[in-house]
Amino acid sequence: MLGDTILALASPDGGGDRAVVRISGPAARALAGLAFAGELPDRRATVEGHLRVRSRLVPAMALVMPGPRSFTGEDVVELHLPGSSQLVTVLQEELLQAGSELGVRAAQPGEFTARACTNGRLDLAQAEGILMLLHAADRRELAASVQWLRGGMSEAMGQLRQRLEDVLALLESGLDFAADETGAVLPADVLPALAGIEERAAALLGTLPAVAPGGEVLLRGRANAGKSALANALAGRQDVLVAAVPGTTRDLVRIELGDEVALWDAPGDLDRAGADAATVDRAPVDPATVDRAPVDPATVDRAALALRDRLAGRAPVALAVLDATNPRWPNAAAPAAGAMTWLAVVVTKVDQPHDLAAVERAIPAVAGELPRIFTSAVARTGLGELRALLLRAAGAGASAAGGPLRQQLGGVLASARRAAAALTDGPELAAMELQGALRVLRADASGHSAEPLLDRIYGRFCLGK
Amino acid sequence: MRDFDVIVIGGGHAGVEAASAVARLGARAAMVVLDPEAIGRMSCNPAIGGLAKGQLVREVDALGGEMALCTDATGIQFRMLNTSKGPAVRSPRAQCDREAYNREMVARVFARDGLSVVPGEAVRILAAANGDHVAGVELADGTRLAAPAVVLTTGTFLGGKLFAGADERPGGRHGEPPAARISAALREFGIRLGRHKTGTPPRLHRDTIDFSGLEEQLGDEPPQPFSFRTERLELEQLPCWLTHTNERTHTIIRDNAHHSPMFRGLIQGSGPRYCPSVEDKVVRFADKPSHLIFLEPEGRDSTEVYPNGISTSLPVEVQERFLRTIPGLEAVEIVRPGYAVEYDYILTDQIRGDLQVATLPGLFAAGQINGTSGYEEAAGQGLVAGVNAARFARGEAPVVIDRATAYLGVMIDDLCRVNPDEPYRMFTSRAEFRLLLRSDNADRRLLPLARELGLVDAGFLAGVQRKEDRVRGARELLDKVWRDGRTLTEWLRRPGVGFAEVEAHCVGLAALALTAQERSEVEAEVKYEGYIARQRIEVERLQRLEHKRIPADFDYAQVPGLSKESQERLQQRRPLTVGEASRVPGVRQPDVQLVLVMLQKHRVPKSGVTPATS
Repeated sequence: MLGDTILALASPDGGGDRAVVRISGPAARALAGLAFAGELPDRRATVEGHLRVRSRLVPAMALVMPGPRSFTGEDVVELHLPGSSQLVTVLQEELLQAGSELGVRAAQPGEFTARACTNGRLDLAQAEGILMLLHAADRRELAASVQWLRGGMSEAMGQLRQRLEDVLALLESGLDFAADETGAVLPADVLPALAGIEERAAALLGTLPAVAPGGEVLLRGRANAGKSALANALAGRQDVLVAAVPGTTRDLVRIELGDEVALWDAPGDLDRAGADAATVDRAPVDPATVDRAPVDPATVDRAALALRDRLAGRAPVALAVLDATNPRWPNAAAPAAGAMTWLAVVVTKVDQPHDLAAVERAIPAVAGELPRIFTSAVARTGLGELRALLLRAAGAGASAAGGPLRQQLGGVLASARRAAAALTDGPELAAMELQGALRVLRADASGHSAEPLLDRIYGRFCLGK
Repeated sequence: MRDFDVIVIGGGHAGVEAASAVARLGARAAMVVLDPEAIGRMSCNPAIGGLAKGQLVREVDALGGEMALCTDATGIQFRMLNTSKGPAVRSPRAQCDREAYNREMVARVFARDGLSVVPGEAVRILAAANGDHVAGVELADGTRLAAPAVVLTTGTFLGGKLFAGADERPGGRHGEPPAARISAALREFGIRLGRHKTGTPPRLHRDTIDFSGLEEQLGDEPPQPFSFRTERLELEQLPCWLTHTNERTHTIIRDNAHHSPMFRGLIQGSGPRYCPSVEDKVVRFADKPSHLIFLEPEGRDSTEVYPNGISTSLPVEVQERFLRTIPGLEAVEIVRPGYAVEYDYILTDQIRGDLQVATLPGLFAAGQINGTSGYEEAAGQGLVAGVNAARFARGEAPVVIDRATAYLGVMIDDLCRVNPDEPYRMFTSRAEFRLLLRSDNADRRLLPLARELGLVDAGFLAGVQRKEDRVRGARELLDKVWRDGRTLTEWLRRPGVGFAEVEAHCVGLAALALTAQERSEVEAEVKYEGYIARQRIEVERLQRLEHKRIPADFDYAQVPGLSKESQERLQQRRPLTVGEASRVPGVRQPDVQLVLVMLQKHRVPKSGVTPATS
């Protein structure tokens, strides 16, 4: 089947002098071609030209990145245009309208990330492993994360899929061949295998990291704006978290506030467009935690950095953090993969001398209506107010770590259960459930084919009258 | 100048349905056959239908085809298979009287208005002077028949070679010569061919079999007709018999396996894994002490018996020796030995959804020549190829049946997508919308198409309408009659509860006197309700882009940004729909999207018949 094409504003909402609309999917170039006046080549290129918006020509630039060598692994086109909210809104509307029959739609928060994973830019399990690595609270979890990164989870998922295919083959052999050829396939032959799949899926689900079901909030601010101190003060801890994990401390830290909110602390780097892996400090790897074949830290760093950018798309809510003593708005040009909603302006270090008027001047008009929360990590002021605000916002619900894997495993679990229940109604219904589970696991776009199934059946039974 | 609208080469199960469909559409058809007496001959098992295949036969019937009626007229045993499972996987199967079936088909073909039988061997496909479309057919005697469309249905005859032991000779079927020259003619047009193999068991003399100790297998009483047009069947059914091989049989086969042309590497083609030869079974599944054999009478008066399950190409004297180790066959005499046949088929990545050969407009192919196996698969393709050939001859848009409407659509789509590396047989697991594609509702599924094309008469259409009304009436009754605090619909939905049980509690329902098919339909609709709703959502997703037509004159060179390679492939292949285009090997999704954009700009009106899904 043909995949959808998605588009979204990829630069922070309402800020900066340049806006980026990112399009990803099979129709990316076709769609961009409808709006961009100028030839779009079918290779990687940057093209200067104009965009037609409401039949007016606007100077613009197009970045063409054909799959699979792109951010999402699909064909990607980024349209860079002047950062006027109205212009961007109109352009998005026009693109969505023009593309409606091409299967173009607005991207969900985090969807670019999901695609990068499903398209094999990052193995889903590996991506989840990186997420776990970022959260790893102790060394035991760290070891598990590393195991995942090395494909352990991919392997486990592959085995689960094989078990599903085996049961389905057994069921289908009973449906497509006479009982005198294959022997009758009885519920008693199938139920234990289904129970085994259910159990395994549940066990794998249990190994996924804890989830903050409420919301995920990104802290955004300039270097030294006091984000880490703020995060730690909120979490009630003294130390910077997960200090032992290479490349992560300075890169991205997830702080869970109770069960409902997770804060993503991304010191500095999110604000420095184009920061590369080489600038990230690395702590030495402790050989005790990473067994014989440690993951190359450089690989982790690059993957983690890539993940950080994608997380911007997964954390639709952000706090703008301003240093009261040196108030500067977060860098508008920082990479961000999806539209972002500002939740509030948090002014830090209010225990030190500062100029309130200067703080107000630093806040752009677009953030004019946002609540201001004045805090001090040292004096522990304003923290209760901020925590209350975060908890209120938690209802927004964003994708949590382990989401896609959790979804797949949950799907398999539910299908196995439904299949077991449907067996009494008919093996053909149980088979339909298992086919559904396999579709979820395969997540590929090719059409229905019975061939792999038939291979399994022929391998097992001597068929044929 | 045209002598005919469509020339069908071959008179097997595909050829009969193709020629008959052309004639039913009011076009003039010629059927070129080596031997008119062999029209509709069953070269292998004298049985029609079976799991998934029964659905195909019902679909052919719903489009006015011949196969189901002929089966009803000549059947000697009728059974509904898989009755212990749900309605979606139940399929009708019938044993036929081999001679009678053959005679009935000959009679039907000769009686069909607008269909001429031309005895002779087709040796060449004629192309127009510029070579870009079909112009007719040349026969061995030099006769040239002009027609804008040709349907190839040559079965196993294309480059056919028969094997039994060391004996190897050209042939299409037992005692019949092959169609030797057509293969070369096809290669001349650049059409790529593959090689398949299949086999058949020895035929046994009835009077030399001792049935006394064998298990009997009886037909259903009352028998359910195959055709939607047959009201009821009245016949005395014949039994089949079960026996099995044993260790002694296996020893003889194992000791002589090296004589088999398969094991000696003489046969290059790949055989079907679902229908292995007995030597294959014994060697590959060495741990199995015994294999089942069904002894099926070839007819009411025939003295031949078909031993289903032991197709073989071992030397004749070895066949005789192993047969005589089998219970009931201790003194058996062989009437005709088993053999393997190897033949050419068209690699199906050259075939489009209307069964036209993409590189030669006007040339259609159906049946074993497309790499399939089975009478039913052949008949289904024959019908679709015949319809499209007639439409092509008249300059009408092609008909493509989708995967959600019929097994016919599943089969043809599968063929277009991959070259089958073994003869392609239909299975219900090939259909992702299995719950919708049942044998009981084939008439309702295909009604819109049958009506629009004019393939069936008004009486048939009225009958389908009547059936629909009766099913609806029954469902309304089930909804409003209560028993023990539940509606009958809720009762019927419970596992293990069948229609008969519900009927026993409702006089109104019993008074409707539903036919077996109507009952099955009611049962399926009630039991599958939630599942069917889920499948329909999937169907809609499939059909959104799948059905979008690409006009025949669409110029891929005009699509900006389309890669040269894709442009050439699409130009050559000329896919009929966007769905088909997306499955052309080597064409990337972005290319398909570019084509879509172009189609969008031109706002091409939808043409041709797009069947709705029931």
